[in-house]
Amino acid sequence: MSKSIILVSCFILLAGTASAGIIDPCRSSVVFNGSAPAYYFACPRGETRTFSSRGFSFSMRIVDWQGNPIAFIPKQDFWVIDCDPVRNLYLCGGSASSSADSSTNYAGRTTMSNTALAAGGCANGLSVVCQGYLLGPGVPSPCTPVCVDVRVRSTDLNRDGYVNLSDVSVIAGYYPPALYNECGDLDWDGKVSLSDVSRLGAHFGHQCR
Amino acid sequence: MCKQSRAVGLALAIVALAAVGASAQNPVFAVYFDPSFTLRETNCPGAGPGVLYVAGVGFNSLVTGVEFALSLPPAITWVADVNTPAVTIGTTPTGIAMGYTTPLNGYSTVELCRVEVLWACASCAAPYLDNEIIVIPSPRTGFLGWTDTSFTERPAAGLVSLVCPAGVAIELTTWGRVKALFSPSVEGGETHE
Repeated sequence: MSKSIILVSCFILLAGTASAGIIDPCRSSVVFNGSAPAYYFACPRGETRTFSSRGFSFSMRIVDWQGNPIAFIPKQDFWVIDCDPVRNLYLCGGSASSSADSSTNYAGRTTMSNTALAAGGCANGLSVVCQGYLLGPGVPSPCTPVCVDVRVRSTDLNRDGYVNLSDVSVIAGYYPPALYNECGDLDWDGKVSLSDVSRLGAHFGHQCR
Repeated sequence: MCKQSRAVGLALAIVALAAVGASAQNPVFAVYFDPSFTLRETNCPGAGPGVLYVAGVGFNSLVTGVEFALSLPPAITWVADVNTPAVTIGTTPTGIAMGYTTPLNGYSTVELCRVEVLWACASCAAPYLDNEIIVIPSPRTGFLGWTDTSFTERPAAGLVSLVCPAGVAIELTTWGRVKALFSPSVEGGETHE
């Protein structure tokens, strides 16, 4: 009887030790700082404005299964992905397309504000990922990833990582008198017009690094 | 003293008005018949291929894109738009929008594109007299204008260029026909009052 108690205790202890340092995506949290919807213009080369200069940022707190903060998670281990059920982004370099501002501190906290997203495509929603885990609101239940209404547009309209003639063809297909397509509206002014063509021209030839 | 201050005030008002007028002035798009952008009137050069030069004047800024259309007269048949940037949507007769990878220097007259055409006229005779080439808003969007470095759309005005302007028209005719123009008694002659 005492042997089995010792065994169970050892198991619990081992399990606890093993889960220490492993991210709990439900109790880890991401908070959106800004007003939704937010708007972000991306280029495959990543030569656009940062999140903060577009008026928004993310604050993350990472904890393990025991609720302890995890420090020193490298900033490169954070990135954003789209959470739009209809449209999607092409992330240049995958997880390298964006990053946090710094490694997590002793409280497991960091922010994402100074990154410029290198991406193509179009999406109406972003989630933050840490080491492959989609971050939630910080409560165990309901454990659903936070999806923020950030409307991302890119001159790489066909999502091939390269702004070229194919993209000109795509935006030509959205140009009046064609029906409005929000993915061609690169400045969110409610129409596909010369300003969008000019943006495409300014980023023509840009590709994922 | 009072007169002096009035005069100064008047001068300042004139300067201010002039400044407002200058700043409110829209850039203009025009078609030229020469690459140095001096001729906006021409006689018919004879049936065959030719080139029109579309230029913008008075941007006073770098230019990242332009949009317009050309209304071409019977004397001219459109063939192709050339010297256009890679990011070009449409054609000049149907409405063209162009985005430049390197902004154009709009601080002086700048070429926007060239239009290859076929001259349909052999000489300046009806129906080719006073044929107007007009820069008009794109029928696709209703916009005639340009974008600056912040990609803000700004309006422009379109100018008229003339083929076979009536003042300098050279029409093949005879002295008999000319006399007939001023002789109401001659059958078939026209009267002018």
